Amino acid sequence: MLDFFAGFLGKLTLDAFPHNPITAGAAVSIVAGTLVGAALMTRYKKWSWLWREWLTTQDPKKIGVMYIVVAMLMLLRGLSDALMMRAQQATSAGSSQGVLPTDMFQQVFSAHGTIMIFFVAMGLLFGLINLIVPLQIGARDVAFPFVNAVSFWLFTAGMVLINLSLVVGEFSAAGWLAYPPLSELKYSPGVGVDYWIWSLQIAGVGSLLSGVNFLATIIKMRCPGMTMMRMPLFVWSALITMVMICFAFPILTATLTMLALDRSLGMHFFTADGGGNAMMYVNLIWAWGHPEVYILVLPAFGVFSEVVATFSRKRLFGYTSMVWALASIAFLSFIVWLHHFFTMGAGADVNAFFGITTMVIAIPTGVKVFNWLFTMFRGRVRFTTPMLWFMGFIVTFTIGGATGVLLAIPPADFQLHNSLFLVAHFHNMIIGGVVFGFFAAITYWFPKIFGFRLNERLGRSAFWYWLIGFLLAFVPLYILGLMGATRRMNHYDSSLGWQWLFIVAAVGVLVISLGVVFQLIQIAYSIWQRKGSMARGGDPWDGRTLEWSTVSPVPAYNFAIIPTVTSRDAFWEQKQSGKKLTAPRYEDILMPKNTPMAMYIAAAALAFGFGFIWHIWWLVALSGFGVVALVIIRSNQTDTEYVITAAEVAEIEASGRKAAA
Amino acid sequence: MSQSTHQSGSLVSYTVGFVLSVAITLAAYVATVNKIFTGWSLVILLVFLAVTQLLVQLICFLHIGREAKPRWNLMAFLFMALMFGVIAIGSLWIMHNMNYRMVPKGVEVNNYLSNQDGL
Repeated sequence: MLDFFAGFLGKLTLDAFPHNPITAGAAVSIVAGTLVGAALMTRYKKWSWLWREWLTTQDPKKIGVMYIVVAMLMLLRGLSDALMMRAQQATSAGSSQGVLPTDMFQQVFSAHGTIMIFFVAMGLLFGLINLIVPLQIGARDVAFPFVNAVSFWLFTAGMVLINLSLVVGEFSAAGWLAYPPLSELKYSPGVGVDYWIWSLQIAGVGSLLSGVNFLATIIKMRCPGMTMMRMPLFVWSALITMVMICFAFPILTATLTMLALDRSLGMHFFTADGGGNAMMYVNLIWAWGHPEVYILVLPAFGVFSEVVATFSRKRLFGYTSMVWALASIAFLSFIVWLHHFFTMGAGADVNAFFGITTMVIAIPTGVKVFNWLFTMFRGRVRFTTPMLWFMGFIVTFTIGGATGVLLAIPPADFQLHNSLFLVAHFHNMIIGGVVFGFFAAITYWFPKIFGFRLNERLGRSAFWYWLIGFLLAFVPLYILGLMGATRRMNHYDSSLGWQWLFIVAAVGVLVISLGVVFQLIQIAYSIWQRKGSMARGGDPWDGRTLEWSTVSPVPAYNFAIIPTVTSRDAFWEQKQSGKKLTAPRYEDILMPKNTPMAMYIAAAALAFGFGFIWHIWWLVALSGFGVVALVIIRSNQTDTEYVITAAEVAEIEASGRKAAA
Repeated sequence: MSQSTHQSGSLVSYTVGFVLSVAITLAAYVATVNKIFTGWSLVILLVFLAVTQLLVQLICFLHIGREAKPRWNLMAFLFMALMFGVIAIGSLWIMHNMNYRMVPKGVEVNNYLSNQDGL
């Protein structure tokens, strides 16, 4: 009997459940948290509301909110990983071995990187693009609303899988990019690397689908009059990001597939024997990985371009040069990938080529920094929370850019490769660039989506804790890196005198955590006190672009009447000319119906990944067939849209305008 | 939303595309596993089959060439060609350079590889 189940469930046995107290604690808290959440939902009879309003929705605004909620939860997970790493390195000097067992420390740093990039930064990115892009181009929806829902649910399926590794089995201990030969079956025989492969593979396919979707949306669904050079800069940054996703993510998919074939079917793409070449993996993963970091940061550039123009009450300085800077950064980002492995042994000519292309990126990036500063110059600047994030960004991003150019010099990189200097550099870019940008965006667009503003004072406190915590956490890492401390190090000799710097860095992460606590309090307090900060009129910041022309919260159909624009900053123009809409004539609007199919498809994909991880082949076959069958069933459904009648539109618009007045 | 401009293919085009795709994939598999071709002739054959597969799918599944305004498609293709060139040529350059510098001798490795896999 037991033998039958052993075969039936592949490699999955009772041993897969956690024995280590820390992992067991995490597993228990995940399970308990889920149960408590479910109990509360039942207690307050919210299941049907959740199902109807959120889980089955095809409205990009709601999908965007769900992306951001998932990303925020994952931020907490990634932050607790960061706290564990800092605790380990602050305590593990000399005779003390620190607080974490070695293998767990390796799993923690692998999970931290993977989660922060794929499930926090990417989640915030797609969340924002879902929320804002259709509104800024004057569209009612995205090009393929169902595919959009599938993308979100695949992202969530990947997220579930990576957290499942805490409860069932283990996570990868091979770093966030799982270089072979370490990630090959011979050296990582457990299921950890398989969890890593399949959670990224599933989420990655979702990203690719989103890339195609928003590319089509921006190219085909702009409102009348909105030529390419009239698009808001955030839309430009989204467009260029989507092009990069379409060209970069297939490389990730193919590379992960080859690694999975090596591990599961005994192939030899990247093994040391049988004709494989581990260096090819490093080459391919960075051919995706370098564009990926620009995929993350370009939308943040777009956000800042909107924020600076609005809060300086000025037209963005150098619009055309901003567009060209984005495009050239995107192109350059595809020809620099070797700088991640200068030390792997390429010759001087190869290293010099990629070093120079890397340095060249500083030029268009510098153009953007100066354009933002010139936008502020002689503007009437309002120092709101988004502007604080912007100014924090300018400082940290410039420092990070300078250390990046330093790392682009191959001889310097030979010294600093894999040191904490590198770790400090990329956190400088990703926290100071991407995360600050997305926080600015959330504060800036929150009233558009929910109809009330976030509390300013708490937002400012959160900003200062984040900024000071960031400096405390990463300036010591720059110093440690220059002193020779390598990354992913779980123990060091006390005679090196590094411990006090690690302790300062640990304090820094605690200060960042306080910033996160303030953000959570800010959201809760703002919801509680929302009566005092209503922004139903839809234009709380005196905005410039189309999204501010609708009432807030935005109705399902976005625009009762599709706008026609005649210039950049179309809404600003309309306010300046004082043109009033005279008795609009509404029409029936066709919108996509809710459907749970997207969720089902992602659930089947989740089962597929889980089956592959544990070698449960019947589950792989069944769920693989399920995905295809569900797609075919969905493709043959015809009754997928519903009508909002003109009368209903008139009623919604009137009540929105009345509440605003 | 865009029903009027939506062009779906016929059952025939999808069936032809599917059958051709399966046939091309099987041809590649058989040629490799049964060692019908070896060495460079196999590499050339596989590249040829891959490109054919790409064209079949573009024509039969994505209906390239039937759209009203092909400007965006043209741009996408040109950009794809550029990116493909960058990544393929860049990877070949990098890997060749590293192999040249990191293994004993090119000839020795080739001998070793052909003994191992029959390439």
